Amino acid sequence: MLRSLRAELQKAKRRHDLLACLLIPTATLVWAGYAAPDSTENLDDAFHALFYALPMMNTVLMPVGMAMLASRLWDVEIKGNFPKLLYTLQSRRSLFTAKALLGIGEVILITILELAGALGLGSWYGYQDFPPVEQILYYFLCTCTVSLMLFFSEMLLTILLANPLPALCVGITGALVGLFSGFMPPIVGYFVPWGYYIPLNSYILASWDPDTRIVVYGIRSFNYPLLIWCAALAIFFFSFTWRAIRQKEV
Amino acid sequence: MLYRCIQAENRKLHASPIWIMFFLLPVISAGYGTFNYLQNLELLTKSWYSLWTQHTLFYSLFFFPAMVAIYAAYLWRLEHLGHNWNLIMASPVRPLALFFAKFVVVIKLVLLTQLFIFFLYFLCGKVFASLPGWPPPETFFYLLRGMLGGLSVVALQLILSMIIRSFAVPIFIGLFGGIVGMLAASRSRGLYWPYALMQYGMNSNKSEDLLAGSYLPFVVSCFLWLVAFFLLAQLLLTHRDVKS
Amino acid sequence: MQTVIETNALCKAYGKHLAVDHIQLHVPEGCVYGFIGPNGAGKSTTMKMLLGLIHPSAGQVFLLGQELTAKNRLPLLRQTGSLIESPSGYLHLSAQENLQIVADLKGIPHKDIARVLEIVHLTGDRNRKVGQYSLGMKQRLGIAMALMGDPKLLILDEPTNGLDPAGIQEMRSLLADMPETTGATVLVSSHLLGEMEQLVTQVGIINQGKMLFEGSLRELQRHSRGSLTLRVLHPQKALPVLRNNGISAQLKEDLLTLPPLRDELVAGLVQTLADSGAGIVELTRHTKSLEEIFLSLTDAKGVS
Repeated sequence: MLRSLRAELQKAKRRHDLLACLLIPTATLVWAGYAAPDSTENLDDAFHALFYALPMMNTVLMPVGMAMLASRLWDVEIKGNFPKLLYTLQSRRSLFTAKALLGIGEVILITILELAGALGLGSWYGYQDFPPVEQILYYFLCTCTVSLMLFFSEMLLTILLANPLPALCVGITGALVGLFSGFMPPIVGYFVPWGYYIPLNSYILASWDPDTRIVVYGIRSFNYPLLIWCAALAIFFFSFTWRAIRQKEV
Repeated sequence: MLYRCIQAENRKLHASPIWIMFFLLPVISAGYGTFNYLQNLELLTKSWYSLWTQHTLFYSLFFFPAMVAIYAAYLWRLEHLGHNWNLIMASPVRPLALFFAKFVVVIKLVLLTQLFIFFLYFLCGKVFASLPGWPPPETFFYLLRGMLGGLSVVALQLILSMIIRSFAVPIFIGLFGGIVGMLAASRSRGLYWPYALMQYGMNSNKSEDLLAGSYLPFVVSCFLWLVAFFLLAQLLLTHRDVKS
Repeated sequence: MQTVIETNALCKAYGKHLAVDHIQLHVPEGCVYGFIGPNGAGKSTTMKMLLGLIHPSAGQVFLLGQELTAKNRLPLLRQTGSLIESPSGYLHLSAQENLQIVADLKGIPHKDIARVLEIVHLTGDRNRKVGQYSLGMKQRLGIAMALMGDPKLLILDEPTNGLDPAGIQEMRSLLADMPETTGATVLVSSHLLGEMEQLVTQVGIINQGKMLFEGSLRELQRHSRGSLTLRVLHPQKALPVLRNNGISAQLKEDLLTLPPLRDELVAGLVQTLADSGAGIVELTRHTKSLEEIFLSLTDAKGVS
């Protein structure tokens, strides 16, 4: 098992996977850093504003970013026409476990970097409302779960169709639909998994006055049912991917 | 020589799955745009113009660069797989002609997408929003301007997919580029960033014309970026070894 | 005789490592030239430099009597067919469509497609997707692509890779006849010397980026002569005869092992041994494997 993971890490190194991983939080933070309130604005609820906006950015970036990570993990085998050799060298289980572990590690790394970046950004600007620990944990848990769900769904597509193109197309389409769902009545969001970042978010826009342009942010209770549903979806895609690898003819 | 290269590129697109993408994104974009327009009739009062912004806003901000990136990555993947890059580089055509042929083919796809978007805009305006008369000619003009702004994105994505052998990474970079373009445009620095030019041209986020009275800088910027990318492509194609 | 390909101190460095180290290649017109060396010896790298796919770190390439430069690369490529690091081809297209692409790029009429398909026996499968082809079929398609437009010079990198024995035989006769039927000169690389012996007239042997030997096949065969095994009824009668002829033989069970000998010497020896009443049953000559030839060539610091 450890050997499989090491082999996978070796492949990742040659592919510059770490760079690809860093690209995702960099994109989020460039965007967030630009959109975040700076010192000329009201800093009392600036973290509220930042954490309200982050899930929206994740909705645009993550479906494509996760498709990038997932398709890279498998594409290296397609390109080298390699599964035939691999299946003789290691069991399918260890191949899948190694790839899944690497993917989970990458998602966690990306989420941590994004979260740390956002918190660092706010502290640098001198935001007054540093989020309580349970909010940080909840945000981390939600972002990881949705990202992993997307990751495995897109890995499944890449494996089933032996081509990264569909996963990327679905990623982009998903990002588009997910973003739209954020502007539609809340109920729509529940049917669009790519946009789950938004209904899971506990930071909300409490009120917005178009005349005075005064924005009031609020916090709502954690959306555990949706989080559990999302985790169930992630597990479903995970086991489906495992089944696909097991049954794949080479 | 160029014509022969384009013909060869066209053959490669035959029976390829890229056409699904071509239909999917505009339809989704139009569906959402129309829905949002009908939901916010009290805010969006400029009929055809308002519908235009709703139809094209997210498309030109985020998804146009990503879509172009997919087209470009797909064309290059065909060469990166197997050893086709050796094959075509060893054929008696100028390397830049090969690049230009890919450019033309992507432009053709993008042009068709743009026209499809305009068709959907017209259809939704008439059928769902029951707007009076014809769409204003300016909107069609915006579309062509968007095309002009998109040229340098096409060239840049082709370069990225040429040097980055991964299929997916240039696509994410394209999306990222679009976001930076949006940020640059919001600080009126869009002319310095190729990904922002398409957004300027499409005039998607405002009802009044973004470029009114300032066509020259826009056209000059489009032209300069395009020339710069072609020079870069020529340099890369003639001075780098073929890695296949 | 004109040389069709000539290189002058051709080098390619990757970092500090010299993948191709001052190669002097001379391919005479109208021959089949075997470019032989183990995997990773620098064959593909050299061939890619001949086609201008990668840029030499030093040295020059002359094709058809002209130096290969950025300027005349295209006219020279027009007279060249190549197959590098096969197999290639667009998998979602049929063989026919793939060849149409090559025809477009080379600017030759599409009617040539039928001819090359016939040569490589793919006419019946021309409308199938290349993705469904076997490795051997893809390889043959690669050859067909190289043959498009009747090139004067064919550069083929390991064209027999992935072919079954019948396919290899076919490829051999196809290539061996090439100079006669089309007047083309063929440069073909392989890591198997045995495969090349029935095909080529000229040989270049490369190892670790260095040319160890270049010359005719006959010349090389002198180096490939290995030891002899002699089985006789009465070894005790044979041993003194051998000793008298100054040949050190080793006896193991009933087999005598003799060092490599020239043909004339062997013929005379057989006569003498027979006369001595040793009773010759079997005489086997071992041809050296490529590795052994390499060793003997490197020991002799190259022969030319």
